[in-house]
Amino acid sequence: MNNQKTIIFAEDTMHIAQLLKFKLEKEGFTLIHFATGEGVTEGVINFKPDLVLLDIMMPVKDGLTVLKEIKSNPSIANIPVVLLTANAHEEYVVKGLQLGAIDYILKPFASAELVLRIKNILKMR
Amino acid sequence: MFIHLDIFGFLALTIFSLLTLVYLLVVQVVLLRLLHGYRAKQKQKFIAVWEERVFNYLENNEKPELLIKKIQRRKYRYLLHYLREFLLMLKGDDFDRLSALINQTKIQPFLISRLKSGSPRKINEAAYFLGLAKSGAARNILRKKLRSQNASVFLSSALALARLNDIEVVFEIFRNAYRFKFVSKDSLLVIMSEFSSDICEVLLQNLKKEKNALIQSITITLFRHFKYYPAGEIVLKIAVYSQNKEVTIESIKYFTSIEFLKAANALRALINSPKAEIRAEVLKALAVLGDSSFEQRIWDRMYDSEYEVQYNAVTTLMILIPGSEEKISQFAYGNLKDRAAAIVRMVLSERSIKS
Repeated sequence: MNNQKTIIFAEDTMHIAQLLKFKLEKEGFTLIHFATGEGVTEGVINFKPDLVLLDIMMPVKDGLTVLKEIKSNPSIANIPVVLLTANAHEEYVVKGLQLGAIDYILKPFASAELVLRIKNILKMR
Repeated sequence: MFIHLDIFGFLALTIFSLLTLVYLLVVQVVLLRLLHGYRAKQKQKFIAVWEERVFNYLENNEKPELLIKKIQRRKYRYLLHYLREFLLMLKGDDFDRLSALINQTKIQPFLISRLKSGSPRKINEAAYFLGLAKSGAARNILRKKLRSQNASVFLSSALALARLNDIEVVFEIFRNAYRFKFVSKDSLLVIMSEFSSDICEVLLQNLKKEKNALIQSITITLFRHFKYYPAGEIVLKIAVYSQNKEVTIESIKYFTSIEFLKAANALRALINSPKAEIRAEVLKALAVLGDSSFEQRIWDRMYDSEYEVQYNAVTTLMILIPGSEEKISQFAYGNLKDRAAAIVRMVLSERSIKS
């Protein structure tokens, strides 16, 4: 049986996305990356990941809209969503938590801390 | 020898000159596009090779100079531009390791030599990366650049010094900014917000004697940005006596952000300000700082001549006074010919669309 956990993450800053992919794959996760918010909800429905990591500020469709879509679909609503956002947009975090996000990480962030928080969330479930 | 040109000759010469000019412009555009394409390809090639090396460097204890040694000097700029997003978005060990690639290697003297060059383009780029990597070694040169006659050099040096948290130069930045017409309040705010919150103490001491409305306004905006509580009393005095609309509005926003309840009495007076923007901001603030004693004053603002003021009056009443929604609906739909009631109906429908 394959125990590898799958994470869907949406992040429009390509180099940061590559770094996260590198770090998390090294920890044994399978990563599916989206460069915008478009298609993320469909991806979550199709792949049923163990966790979703969402940047709030993204082109085409922002992270909060994606979060709302995920939480309003009963088949995927229980998948934990972690938000990633710039310090300057801290106010969106409250909205995100109200919409059902389980945690948030502010940019600038330490990649080691991000990996640990993701591991802890998955361990608790 | 003179060449005699008739009207046709003159026309032909003009057309020939114009065609030559267009041809040269087209050639220049094509060359620039080719150059741009070449550089983009080179950059992509560089990233394809170096991305994994940089990621591995972050994971292990490899010395920074060992990594940089493998990069040709002419490709330093590719690396710097590649590191930009990381330096902006990462902190902790990641940031320390990445900034060491600049601060503890040959890249730092490379950037400092560019900072000392006469080219504003080179200076701006070097200042940007030295500031981003918090290169203390560049501090003194950057300080000298604050006196530059070139606005972009001044701005890039000020930004770098702010990222270095060089608080001693805060007022030199303000003073020098006045030499340039197009250095706006917003650009100064961007620079000042790059300092750490330690800047607030220095700004507070200055605010006690500062008469310049622009500096007052920037200072108060920064207090709000850093959620700096100790400035409440001083800002309250300024808000009450200032004749400057922006200073008053920034003060009210600051009181709201730090929930400074002592400001409520000052708001009682400002709610009738002749300036609509101030009245609108006061009403927004009352949703946080007000209490039921403000109810009548807020109701009075329903009849304001400005839509934004009326809108904020309705919204604040709903937040501040329990059960007011029903009373507002009665007012809106019980006075069909009243102008204020018509606007309240618009506000109510707008709110229901938004929710």
